[in-house]
Amino acid sequence: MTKKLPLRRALIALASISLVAAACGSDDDDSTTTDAPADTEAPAATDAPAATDAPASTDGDESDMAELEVPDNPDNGVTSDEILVGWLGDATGPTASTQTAHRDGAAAYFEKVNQEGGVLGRELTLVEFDDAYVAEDTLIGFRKLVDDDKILNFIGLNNSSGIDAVAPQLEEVGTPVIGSQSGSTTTHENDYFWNTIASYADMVGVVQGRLAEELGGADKIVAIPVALTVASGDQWIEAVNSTITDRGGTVTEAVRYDARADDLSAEAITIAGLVEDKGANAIVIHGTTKPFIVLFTALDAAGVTETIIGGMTGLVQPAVYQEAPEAVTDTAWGTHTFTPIDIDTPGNVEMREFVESEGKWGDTSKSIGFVQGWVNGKIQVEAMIRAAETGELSRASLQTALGTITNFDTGGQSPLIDFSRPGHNGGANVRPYDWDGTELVAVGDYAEWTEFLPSGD
Amino acid sequence: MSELFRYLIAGIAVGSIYGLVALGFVLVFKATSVLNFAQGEFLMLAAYLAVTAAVTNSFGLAVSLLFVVLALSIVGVVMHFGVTKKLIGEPPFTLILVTIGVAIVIRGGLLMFYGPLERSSVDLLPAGGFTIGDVPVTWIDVIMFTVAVVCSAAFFAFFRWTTMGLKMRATAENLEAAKVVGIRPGQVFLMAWVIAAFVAGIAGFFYANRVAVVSLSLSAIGLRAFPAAMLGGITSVEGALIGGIIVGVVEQVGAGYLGGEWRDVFAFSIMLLVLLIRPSGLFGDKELVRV
Repeated sequence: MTKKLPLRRALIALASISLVAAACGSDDDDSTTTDAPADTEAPAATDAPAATDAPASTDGDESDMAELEVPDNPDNGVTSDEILVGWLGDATGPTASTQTAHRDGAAAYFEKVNQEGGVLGRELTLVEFDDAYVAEDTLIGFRKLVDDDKILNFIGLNNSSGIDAVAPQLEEVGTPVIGSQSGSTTTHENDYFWNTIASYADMVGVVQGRLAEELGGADKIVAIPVALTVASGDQWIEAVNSTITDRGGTVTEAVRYDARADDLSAEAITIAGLVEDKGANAIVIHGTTKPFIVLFTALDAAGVTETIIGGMTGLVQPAVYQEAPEAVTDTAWGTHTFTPIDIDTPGNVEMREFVESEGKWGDTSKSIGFVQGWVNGKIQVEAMIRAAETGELSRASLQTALGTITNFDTGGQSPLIDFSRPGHNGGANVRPYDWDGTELVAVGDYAEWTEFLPSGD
Repeated sequence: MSELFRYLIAGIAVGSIYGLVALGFVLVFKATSVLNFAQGEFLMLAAYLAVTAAVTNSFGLAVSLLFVVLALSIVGVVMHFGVTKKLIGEPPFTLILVTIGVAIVIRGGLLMFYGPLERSSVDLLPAGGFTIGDVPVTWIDVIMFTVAVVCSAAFFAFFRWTTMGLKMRATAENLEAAKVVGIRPGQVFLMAWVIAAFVAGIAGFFYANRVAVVSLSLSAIGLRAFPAAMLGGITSVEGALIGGIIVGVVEQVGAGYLGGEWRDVFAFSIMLLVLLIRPSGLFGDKELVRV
């Protein structure tokens, strides 16, 4: 459930005034106060679905969870009838297609939970702020969601430059971030990020492994690191340089490109020059859907059509293969922690059925970001229930509860999520995905690629 | 050397589009002394309409182009009667702020109607191309350049040799004097806005065929074209195209050799230099003030 907070606040204020007026009007009529939501005692979460949806390594059984109650904590987003969770990302900027899918996946899971009775007797409400991929606006959105809306935590905080800007403030406000879409170094170094997507180092590790297979050996790789002109782009290039060279390959100079640009001819010509002059045979790329399409179109015009392109999560998006020139995408593939929606797993089937029954979310539900948002929702619910076992739901108790999540089964929508790994690298396992002309196809199981993960070395 | 030639070709192609957008700036300014900061949004609107015509409704090249330029011409009419007519005679700064407001409205409208996700681009123009030496050149870039040259030539002739062109120049020069000699400013302003929107329609239609996807980021081209208009001279029709090509080439060569993050630095450094060294631009009219 998403909403416009001011309207809700106005309604709540109106309702409060009505209640006071009713109470003052008649001492004998106690029906109003009886029906009013309790301020401190929330109804038991008898229908809380998280216990069954999330077969985590919890010690509590379903009946225990059903009896859990927590007092209101409005300064931490827990009111008598709802729990406020923040989403801060790009809803209208150049990476909107990927990020809105992430938001909608979480919103869809919240919707499902709410229809089944909510959690801890309350509805889940996603409060969003669109930073349009502008780091300054990420800062504004962060303070607005934390200070004004008083959210419990973030479910996603996605722009890497914005993440760098707000990361130092996370400790100050003590609010955890579940499942950022960024695999940047910052998200794996800050204790308040609980990562459901692999780190860049792990992604590049698997990209290197597959390139070595395709080119006939690690020493045959001559890779061009290509990255967006954002903070995480530097980290991607660093990961490519160290991983490829440490394993015996060669790396050329890096090429940077702008996510907002609608023409990337110069960058494509530079890449063409590196292919011709330096003998580069692979492009190891960082980015997201729209910039990929723009760059691949320019690469086609520049005649770069036979170089292998291995990349990060953004390359596991059908739109890239549907919109960019086939001559370029024929040799492209991406890596991802999550399982695309079309691949049948128990979790994906359940998600698809719910999405189809609701008829909402349109194109965004086709994106793999939607799967991540949905899984983040599952983890959010599981963590809140674990936090409630301490007798309160607060930012601090949620932060502690997240640390207890290990081997969390997402129904095949991802590998087991394990936050006990260093850097809260919950979704460390990644695998490549190919485009077969109509859909994305997983290349092997996660286990087949574990040997290439630096975090698993 | 081959790489430099490639950057030059790419710069001319991109510069042609900048030139067309800059032409829109010039056409409005020449007649009304107003800088239309909604010109990039006009182009973006045209590109989205091209998608509606060609992709959603599968119209052919001619019908789609006609649909887009007619729709944009109507936008020009609405712009005049709905927004700027009542402001004739007001300080240019007021009108400039109004154009910024119009830009925000267009962007918001597109966001509500089409949503934030990018749309498939249009593919009504011939694909492929040819090579000069070992440098590939696409037909779309050739077409864009040709359209930009033809438009510039047509409007150069329009301003120089037609009665309406003369009226527009006279109105921009001195509104009160123009009224005295019988020129109707309302008619001139209407024509200016219609022509500017019409040019944006042409640019947006062809640009929708060139870009990989149509998205809300297309409006940024308005900011890029502004230095082009300043470089060519904000009152010079022919200067708009030449300024656009110079900005495009410098930008591509700079981004190619130094990296994509330098693209904007080059574009706006040009504008800064022009304002400091030659405020009237390469081909603009120097304003003489009797003291």
